[in-house]
Amino acid sequence: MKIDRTLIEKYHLGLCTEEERFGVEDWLLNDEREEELLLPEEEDKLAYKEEIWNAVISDVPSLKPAPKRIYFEYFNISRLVAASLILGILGIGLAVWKYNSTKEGTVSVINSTPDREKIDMQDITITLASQSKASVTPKDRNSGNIDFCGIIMISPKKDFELTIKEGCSSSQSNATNETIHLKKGNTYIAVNYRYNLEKELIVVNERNLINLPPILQREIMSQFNI
Amino acid sequence: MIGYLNQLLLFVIFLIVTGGCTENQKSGAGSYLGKKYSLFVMDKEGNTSIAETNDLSKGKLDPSNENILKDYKGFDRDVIVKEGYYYKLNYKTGIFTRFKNRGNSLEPVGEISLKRFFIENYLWINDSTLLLFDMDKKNRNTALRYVIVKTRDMQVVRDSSLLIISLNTHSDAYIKPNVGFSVIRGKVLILGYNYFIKEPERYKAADTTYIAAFTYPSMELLSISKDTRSVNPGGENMVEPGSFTDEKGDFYYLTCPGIALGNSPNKPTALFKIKKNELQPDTSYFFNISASPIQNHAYSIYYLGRRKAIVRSERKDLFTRWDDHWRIPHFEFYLVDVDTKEITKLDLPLDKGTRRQCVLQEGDKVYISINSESEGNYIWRYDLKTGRLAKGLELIGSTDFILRMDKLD
Repeated sequence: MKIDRTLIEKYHLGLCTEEERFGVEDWLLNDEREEELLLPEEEDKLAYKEEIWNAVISDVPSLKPAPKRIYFEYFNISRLVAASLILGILGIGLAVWKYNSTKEGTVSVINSTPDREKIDMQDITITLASQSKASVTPKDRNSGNIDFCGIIMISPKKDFELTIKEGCSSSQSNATNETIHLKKGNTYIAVNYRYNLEKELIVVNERNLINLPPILQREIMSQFNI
Repeated sequence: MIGYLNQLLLFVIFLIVTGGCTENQKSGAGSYLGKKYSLFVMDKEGNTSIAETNDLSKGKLDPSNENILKDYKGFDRDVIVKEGYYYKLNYKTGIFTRFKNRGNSLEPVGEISLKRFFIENYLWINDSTLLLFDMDKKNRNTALRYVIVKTRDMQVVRDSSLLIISLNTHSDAYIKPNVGFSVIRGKVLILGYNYFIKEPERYKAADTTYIAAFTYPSMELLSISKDTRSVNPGGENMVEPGSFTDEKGDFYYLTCPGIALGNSPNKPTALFKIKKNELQPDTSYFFNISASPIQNHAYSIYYLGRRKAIVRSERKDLFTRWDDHWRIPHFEFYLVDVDTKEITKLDLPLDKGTRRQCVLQEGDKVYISINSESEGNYIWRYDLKTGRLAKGLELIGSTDFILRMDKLD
C-alpha cells in the first residue's frame, strides 16, 4: 500500500477503511526510530536541534517559523491531546511532503555547513560529512540508488541493495558505480578516493575503517564522531 | 589428638602460605600467570574476538568459543598489548583503559581521560611508561601533542606539546603532520613525521620526510632534518611495526608511500638508518625495497636479529582498485638482510588484510599468521636455522582475518 499525505490525513480524520488503517499503522510502527545524534561533548545538542528545525522551516516556504515554545494558559488534557494531534499531522505531513518533494522520491542534499547533515529515508539513513552532497532515489523497499560526492555514512534500517555512483562531476558518462548489499545493523562509509581509476569509490564497513590510510580514517572518525 | 592438631596447624599454615603467594603473584610485577599468546580475530560477519592460547605451533582454535571480548564491542586492532595487559583508547568517550583477562573476559583495571586525542604512534619508554603522540589540534601545522602515562597505576605524568617545523606558508595545502616513528636513545628523542596534503578526492603524503631530535626528558628541539628520498616514515605502529633498533644500537625505519599509507606511490618503499650516535639519517644507507626483486610497496618490517628481517609487501598486479586491497589475498613475505640487501621470498600462501600484526619470534622459531582463501587461516612455523616452513595452529570456525598476534608474557 502506498502511504502518502492524503492517506495520512484521512487516517487522522478517522476516514480510513479498515485495510487503509492497518496499512498506515503498520507503516508507522515499522518505521524505526532515528538514531540518537552523537555530538562531541562541548557542542550543544539544543543548538543543533534549533539549527535543524530552522533548516526544515526554510525548506518549506509556505510555513512561517513556529514559536519556540508553546505555553498553555492552564493544564488541560483535551487541549494537549488536540495540540499533539495537530502537531502530529503537521509533522507527518511535513515528512511526507519532504519525501515526495522531488521527482520520483529523490532527495538531494548539498551540505555546505561545517557539520553533518542527515537524509532520513524510510529504509535507509544517509549522513553527509561537511562539504559533501548526495542524491538518494529509492527504487522500492529493498533497493535504491545514490549519487554522492565527498564522504557519506550509510545506515540501512533493513537489508538493502544500494547502487552507489560517483556524483562529483556533472558528466555521468564514465562514472563508476557499485552495487552493495547492505546489512541491517551495519554502518558503511563511502568516500571518493582516487587511486587507479579516475572516479574510484571506496565503500567500507565501519568495522574495517582501520584498513583505510590513517589520515583518511581520522578524517572520517572526526566527521562522524565514530 | 595432638597428631590431628599438628595436621590441622600444618594445613592452616599451608593455606596461609599458598594464599599469600597467589596474592603476591597477582599484584607483583613480572609475574604473569596467564596464557602466552593473544590472537585478535575478525570473522566473516565482521565480528571481532580475542582468544588467548599457550601454543601456536599446533592444534585448532575456534576464537569465538574462547572470546574474552564479550563485553567490549569497540575494540579494534589498534590495541596495545604488553605483559598480559591490553590498552585501548575509546575514541568516542576519550577514555584510555588498561584491561586484564580475568579468566574468560576482559576487566578494566585502570583508566585515564585522553579527550580529543588520536594515538598516531606509541613508544614504551620502559616496561611501565608509555609515550603517546598525536597532532596538536590547537596548532595543527606546527606542534605535536604528547602524553606520558605511567601504566601500572594509569597516571598521566605529562600532557604537553612539541614544536616542530612551521609550514604556515602552506597552511591550506598542508593539512597536518603525522608521526610515523619515535625512538629514545639515552637523552635524545627522535621523531619521524610527514605532512599530508589534501587534494580534491585524495590525501597524500607531501614529498618530504622530517626527522626531528629533542632532548629527553626536557624536550627541547635539537635539530630537524629533511629527506626527499621517500615519504611516510615508520608506518602505522599502532597495528604493525615499521622500525627497529639492531644489536649495535643503530635505528632503522621503513618508509611507506604505498596507497595504503602515504598514498604517494611514485616514491619507493625503502629502509633507512640513523646510526647510534647520530640525529639524522645516514645518507649512505638506502635499501630500496620497491626497486629490489620485491618490486612493490610494503608497510611493515619485523626485525629478527642477526641482520635479518621479514618484510610484508603488497602485489600491485593483483588488485586494481583500493577496495580490493584489504579484501583480496595479495601480500607476500620476504626475508631480507639489512646489510647485504639479499632477499629471499618465503614460500607462504598469499595473505590478505591491509594492516595486521602477524609475526612473532622466539629464538630461531618465527610464527607468521596467514589469512589464505585457499589454505585456511594458520599460524605458520618458520625455522630460521633450516628455513623450513610448516603449518601450526589453525584458526577455525568463521575466522576471516587474524588481525593481531601478540605475546602476553
